[in-house]
Amino acid sequence: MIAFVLLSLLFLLIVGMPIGMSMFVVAMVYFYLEGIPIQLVIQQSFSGADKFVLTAIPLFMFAGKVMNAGGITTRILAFCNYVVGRIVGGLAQVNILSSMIFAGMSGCAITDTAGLGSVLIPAMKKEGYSPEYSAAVTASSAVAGPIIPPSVPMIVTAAIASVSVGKLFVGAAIPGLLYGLGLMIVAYIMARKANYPCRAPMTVQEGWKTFKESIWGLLAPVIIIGGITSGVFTPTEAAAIAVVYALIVSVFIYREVDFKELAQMCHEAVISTSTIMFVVAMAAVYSYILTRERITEQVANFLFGLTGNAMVLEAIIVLAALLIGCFLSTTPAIMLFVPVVAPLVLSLPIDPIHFYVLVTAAFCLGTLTPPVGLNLYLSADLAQTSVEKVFRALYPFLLVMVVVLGLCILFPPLITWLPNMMYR
Amino acid sequence: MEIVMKILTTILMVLLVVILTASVTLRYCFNSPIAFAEESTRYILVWMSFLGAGLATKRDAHLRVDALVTRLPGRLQFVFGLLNNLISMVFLTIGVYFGVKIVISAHTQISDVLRINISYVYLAVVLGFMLMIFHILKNTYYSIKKGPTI
Amino acid sequence: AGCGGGSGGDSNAGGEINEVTLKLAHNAQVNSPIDLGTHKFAELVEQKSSGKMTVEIYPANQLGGNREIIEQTTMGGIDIVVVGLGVFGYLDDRFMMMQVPFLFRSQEQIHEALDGELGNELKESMLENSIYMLDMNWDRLPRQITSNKPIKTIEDMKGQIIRAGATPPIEVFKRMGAEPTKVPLNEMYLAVQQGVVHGVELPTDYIYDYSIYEVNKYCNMLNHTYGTLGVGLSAVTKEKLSAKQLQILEEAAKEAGEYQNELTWNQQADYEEKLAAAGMILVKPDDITPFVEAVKDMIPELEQIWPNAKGMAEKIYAIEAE
Ligand code: NA
Ligand code: NA
Repeated sequence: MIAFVLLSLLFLLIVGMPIGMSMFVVAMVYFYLEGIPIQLVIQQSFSGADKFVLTAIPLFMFAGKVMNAGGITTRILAFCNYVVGRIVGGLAQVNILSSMIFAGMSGCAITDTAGLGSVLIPAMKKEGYSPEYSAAVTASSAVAGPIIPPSVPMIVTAAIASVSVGKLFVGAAIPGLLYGLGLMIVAYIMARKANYPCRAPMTVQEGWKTFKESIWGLLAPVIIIGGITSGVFTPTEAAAIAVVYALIVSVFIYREVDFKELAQMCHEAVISTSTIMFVVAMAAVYSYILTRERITEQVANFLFGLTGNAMVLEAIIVLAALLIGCFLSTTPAIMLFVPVVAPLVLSLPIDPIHFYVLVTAAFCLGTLTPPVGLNLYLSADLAQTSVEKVFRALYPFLLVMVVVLGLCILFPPLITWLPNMMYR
Repeated sequence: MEIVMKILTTILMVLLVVILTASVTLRYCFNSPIAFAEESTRYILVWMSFLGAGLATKRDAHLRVDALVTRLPGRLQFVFGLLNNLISMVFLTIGVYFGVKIVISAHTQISDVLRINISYVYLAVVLGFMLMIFHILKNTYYSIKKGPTI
Repeated sequence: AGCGGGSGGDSNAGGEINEVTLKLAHNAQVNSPIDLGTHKFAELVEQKSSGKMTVEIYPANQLGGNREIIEQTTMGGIDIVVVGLGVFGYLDDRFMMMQVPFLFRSQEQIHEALDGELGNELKESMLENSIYMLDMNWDRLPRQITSNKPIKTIEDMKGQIIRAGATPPIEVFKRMGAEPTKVPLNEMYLAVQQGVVHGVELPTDYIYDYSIYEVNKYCNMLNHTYGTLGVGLSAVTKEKLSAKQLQILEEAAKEAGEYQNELTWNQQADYEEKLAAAGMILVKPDDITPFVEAVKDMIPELEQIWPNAKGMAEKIYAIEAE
């Protein structure tokens, strides 16, 4: 049955059936063969979509469209172009830096891709960057979102494993920053190779003008980050505030959109959202099957039987997490894997905080890897290019994460030093 | 049809923004949060997702891995497309049947805060599937009429 | 991998034991008393059936959230479910009333109610909803409120934005002047840390496991809600079991419940110590009578919200608490 569940999905994906639909078909057949009430397929897909944090997706999509159409994006980009545009691959650097700032206010990679990608990918393409490079930079840097605190996946892990949320947050801070730094270096090297253009010199007066014109747009992240850090709203609610702010600036200040256009943007945002949400919903059914078949449990038991050396074991488990992440999105993967390994972690000479930061970060990378990589699909969709091309462009960026994880395994203080210092 | 969908999706998005913004405002300015905000926005998202899945089918916008298929000759691509549509329709139809079953059986369940019937939320899945079937049928009709591109 | 039920559905009346694998789902964490209790249950069932009945355990909401695992049980997708009685409130209002804060004043009072007329009523109502209650006496730790100021009186509740997980505390705390709201468990820590809510309403084990002690200073030991868990068997699965098998399940549920309760009450002091050691101040109220009286006055309004639960509170008040 395990072979059927995995191979039939692979087959349907290869013959070009939509991802969500393939999972749906496999699930229906599996439930029928196992004699499980088929209504449960409907129930599980429903509950996959029924998540509060996911409400941020349509809102950030909508906000992104309003910012684009309302003139905010072009003004911000004009300003950013003045500041870093002279560097080769400047926009890629802007993309990564803004993702890391964004990471400090959101806890979910897909939201970050939706929010920044819908603004930055078209802008990068306009500047002559290849669609797949633009998508790869956006998707890989969005993964910093759930690693740099705050982080929804870390909260899920902490809750299931019964470890401190605060310690996991702080523990993930250094790996998250290292990851961002690594991405910047790789993006720079790739931009040099591709010889991406840089802007012509500009005078200080011209720069000041771009700043003045973009000030309302630049205030948006300030309001959102400020609002979240000062406790006015949660990261999910921030998405709604972003919409309201973008509407006010676009309709009343820049006056570049009218209500009829807004209705069209709503409609477009709903369609983009549902292409993601349909996969999210069906992925929930698929992971339900993996749970019922106890596939992750078998994998975990097998792994823990291999070796007693903590470092080797951690390395193996991180690899396994990366592999599992290919088939599941972050939260379902955590929900499946962590309860299973939790009792085993206690019985081994492994620091739990170190272990769970590593595993959660590895699962976060799973949103970049096919066949189930929502972040990858979303960025490819935004860039209007094929998933394969984006995935190929992602290789060097994926390597950055593998290197960071490897460093953290070899030098545990990279993770454990901060939490041990802050929480005694 | 088109205009109804446009109005519906706009209403859902506006509701999402209004409820969350009102919740933030009431909590921050008047220390009085909206207890139903979390639940209602979740259910709006469910409706949005499944209605939108129908609309995405219309535009053939669903996410897929087309690495292999796009390299096949046109005639084979055409056949695969038809087969995919056929399989999708069959399973979606079965899905509608069981969806209706769960809508009926869920009528005894009441949501936590709003105290609405859970059936109304499950209805989104059924309608979404029906929309998808409708658009797949339409797309298939046009693609057969057009024939394979060689 | 056999699904719920197995073969031989025609042997309902017989005493023989068919081979069967039952899937059990619960919402507690791995190695929690509830989880260990379900493992004990599985062990007992296997023992009593000489290895012919197997129970597979899916902990920590692996098979879905509270509402979903209940629903799956009514349809037969899950054979046995172990959740707080309040969760059954999705199917019947009466279970909502069981969760009303300050209604029960001790664990003994709940057990007495469940062992009597009220318990039978609840059992029947669940059977109408396709769940056969094997046992309802698995204890939970009483619920407490965390905050950044001590809460000793109803007056102290005023304006406190409290994260609550279910409707009964929301309805009651609202009427006490607090501002209860729903925040998902996963977002709760951040919400408290950032001041989006002032505190949470949970048993001490959850308060500890979710690290609330890092973001809240006080844990107000009002013991506002006492609760138990129900062990529910899907009616669809029950059809496929013999009378003997059902008896085995009932006995095992009862015995495992006793084991679980022992673990739970042993842990209570543990968790309070852990919270105190982590820097939380445990506030004991001077007198909870005003809270109890306030809730008594609310009952008619609550009965309007949950019409099925009419008359229940009266019966509960009638039970002499020890
Ligand atoms: Na973050
Ligand atoms: Na993946």
